Amino acid sequence: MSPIRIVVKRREKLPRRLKILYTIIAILVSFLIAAPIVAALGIDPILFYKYLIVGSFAPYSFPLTIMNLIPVSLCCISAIISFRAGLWNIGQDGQYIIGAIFLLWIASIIPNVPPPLSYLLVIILGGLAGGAWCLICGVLRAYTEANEAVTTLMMLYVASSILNYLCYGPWRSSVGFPETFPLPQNYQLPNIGPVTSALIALAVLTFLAWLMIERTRLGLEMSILAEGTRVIDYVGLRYRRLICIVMFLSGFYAGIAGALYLSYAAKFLEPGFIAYYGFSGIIAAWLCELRVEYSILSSLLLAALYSSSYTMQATLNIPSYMTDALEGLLLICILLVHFFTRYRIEIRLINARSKGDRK
Amino acid sequence: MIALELRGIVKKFPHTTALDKVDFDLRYGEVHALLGENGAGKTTLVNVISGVYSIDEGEIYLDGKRVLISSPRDAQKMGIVSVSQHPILVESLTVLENLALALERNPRDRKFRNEIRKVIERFGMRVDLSKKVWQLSASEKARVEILKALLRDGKIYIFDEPTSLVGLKDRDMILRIMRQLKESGKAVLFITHKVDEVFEIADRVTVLRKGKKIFTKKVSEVSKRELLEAMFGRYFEDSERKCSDNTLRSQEREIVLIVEKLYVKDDSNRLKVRDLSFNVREGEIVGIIGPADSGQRELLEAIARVRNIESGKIIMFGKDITRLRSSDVRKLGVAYIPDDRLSIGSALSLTVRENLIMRDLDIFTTKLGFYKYDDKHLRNILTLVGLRDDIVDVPCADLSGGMIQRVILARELLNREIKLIIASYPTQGLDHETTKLIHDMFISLRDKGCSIVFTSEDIDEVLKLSDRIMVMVDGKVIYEANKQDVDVSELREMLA
Repeated sequence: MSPIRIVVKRREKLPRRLKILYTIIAILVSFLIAAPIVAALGIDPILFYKYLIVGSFAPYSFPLTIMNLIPVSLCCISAIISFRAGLWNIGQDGQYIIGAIFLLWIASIIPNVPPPLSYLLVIILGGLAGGAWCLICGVLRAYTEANEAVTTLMMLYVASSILNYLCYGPWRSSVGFPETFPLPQNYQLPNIGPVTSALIALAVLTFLAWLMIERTRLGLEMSILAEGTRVIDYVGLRYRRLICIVMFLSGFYAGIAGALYLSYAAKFLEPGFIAYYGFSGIIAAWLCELRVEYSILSSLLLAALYSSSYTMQATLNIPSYMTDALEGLLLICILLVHFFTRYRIEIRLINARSKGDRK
Repeated sequence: MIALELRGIVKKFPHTTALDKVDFDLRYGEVHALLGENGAGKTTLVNVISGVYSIDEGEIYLDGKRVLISSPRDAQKMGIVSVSQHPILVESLTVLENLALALERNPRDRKFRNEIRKVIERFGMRVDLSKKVWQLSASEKARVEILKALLRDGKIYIFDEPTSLVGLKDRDMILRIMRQLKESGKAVLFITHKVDEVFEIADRVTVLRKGKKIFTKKVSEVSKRELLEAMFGRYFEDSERKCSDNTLRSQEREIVLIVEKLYVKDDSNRLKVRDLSFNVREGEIVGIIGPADSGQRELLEAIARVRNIESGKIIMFGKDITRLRSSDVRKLGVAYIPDDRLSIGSALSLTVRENLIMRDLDIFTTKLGFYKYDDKHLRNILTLVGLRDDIVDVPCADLSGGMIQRVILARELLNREIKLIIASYPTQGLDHETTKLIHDMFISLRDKGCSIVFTSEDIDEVLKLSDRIMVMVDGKVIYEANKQDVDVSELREMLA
């Protein structure tokens, strides 16, 4: 018998202050691990860290960070809604594309809707399309038990193909590049100072999501859904309908992300419109422990990574893959912290023979 | 000769100390009973011995040598074999395949099959090796679990409340197996909370209470009263309990529940309730008893509307509820206490507060779906079932089984006016305190005009509580009588 034993034990619940502290440490550690990788690319790590911050929070780069924050944050809420209910919608990027496509289509049919109303339409059209796209997977899950993690991801590729088809085919603009005609002027959200007014929409939508999850019956029903079918029957919930509602709402937020981004930033569609904000949103969702009230903070970090990757690519010639790697490191560190705040590992030294002679 | 010795064992959990400096020893050639009510630490002690839990303090000696049992596999290698209370079997495989899987043998190996046959003969068991596990009843599954243990050549056998989920015949078989093991020189540890079984089988008995050892004594030198006192800390008046007489005038009362020609299937699509009809009157307690797994659970699940009905009709307060769902029935004033507290009765990852409101969302939310519950009410009903009110923010997963049952009681009985209680084995596996609480609540609600239908495996409990008794065998009611007309010895015979 070996004298060393490694034991994993459950911890008592940690106070929130410590949890936040540990999360910050995880973020810093993931940045530290990145240093040798950056050095291996022949870049001074100090410069890398400098641009990591300057590239996202300096006066000239901060609007870019905000621009990225909105889609990341909405995709983060989309992930939180489905994950809280034990459903795994990981196709936010697909719903994001469909939301933008649908907005562009309807807006091109009715381009003259007056501004305050047209801004509302941006959100509603994007949400409905994204929700409907995700609802397909919800219905498949509810009625045929098809795994929603697989179907939502697959539907992402379908959405991406539709985007490519439209950009190269029927919606191609006369300019010649594979890009579509622009979104009508009335539908383009204006800036307030240096930042976009879509930020207000984000604040309102975040508050509504928080209200729904923490303060309403639907929020509780979602958590019960995550507990399994027998509890659901006991409480008397309509299981299939609930799955569909959750998937619709989850897609709704991701769809809004796409429509908003088209409206205040992209203005037209191109194959590169898909920026994988959805995957960043999923990381952000784990970073804030599926709590909507912290979702903007965690999304801000991910959004900052996006904008610093632009800056670094331009100034330091660091490939944007470096920030992808950093995102991955971040996720690993966060999951590790989640583990260690719930469990602790004890290493024990034991001398098995010391008292063996006693009867 | 001492087989196993524990010294000063301490095991802590986030909210409790489950074992507090427990000393214990087990000898070869004896049946040693470990007695205590729920939450006393019996199962924790078993888990320590069988390597499921690591200990915080203390020493374990096996055959006089200090050992560290760090996993169930470790325990098995040392010859410690445990029979789990809840059989762990793969439903889609046959009995033989399950045995082969557990023992890491080849099911086609003739030698292996011969070994099994020998063990079955030696202990006089009835097991069909070719049946798939999902086709087996609870008693049959328990038999397979025991067979699995007997096939391992151990020195120490641990039986964790083996008699709690099986019928009477199987109970006798299990006690006989323990005796046979003892006679062949093995050490047998028998965990139970039934005092009578201790006298029936054990040589020595150790009593645990709230994580502490009270004493270890020879069974021949201890009285029943002494054991009960040790378990509960004061004299506990057992059996011959009185209950108020309610059966008079019962014919004049209104019928609140009519079950008509009911057919119900279980999860594996077998017909469990066949052509069953009965009525329940206002202010009446109907106790249903019968051999384990005769369809009692499925019957109650169907009435509570958590299980589909194949055919037949259920009428409650004059309303046909055959096609309604449980939330609709709940609004009529029906409480349902399921037998599976952990996976049906409560949402473990949610807080106590959320568990308390989840069945009455129509009361605790506005039309738009916003919460409007009053924390004072929730704290109040927790106090009424004897829980501390500051646990409202604790996840149910952190509570013990008895505490969870109290949370369920608070929710089901105290949130709204209750006119009918459907309770599936409400006291099974619970300590005396919680059992008494449940009995008291039932009787006081009955006296206020509430009707109760419950199932139990404890004939004394059924006789004590019920105004009317029904015996259910194989999905049918074979006997029904008012309490004063029941011939107890006839009833016992029916259940044997």
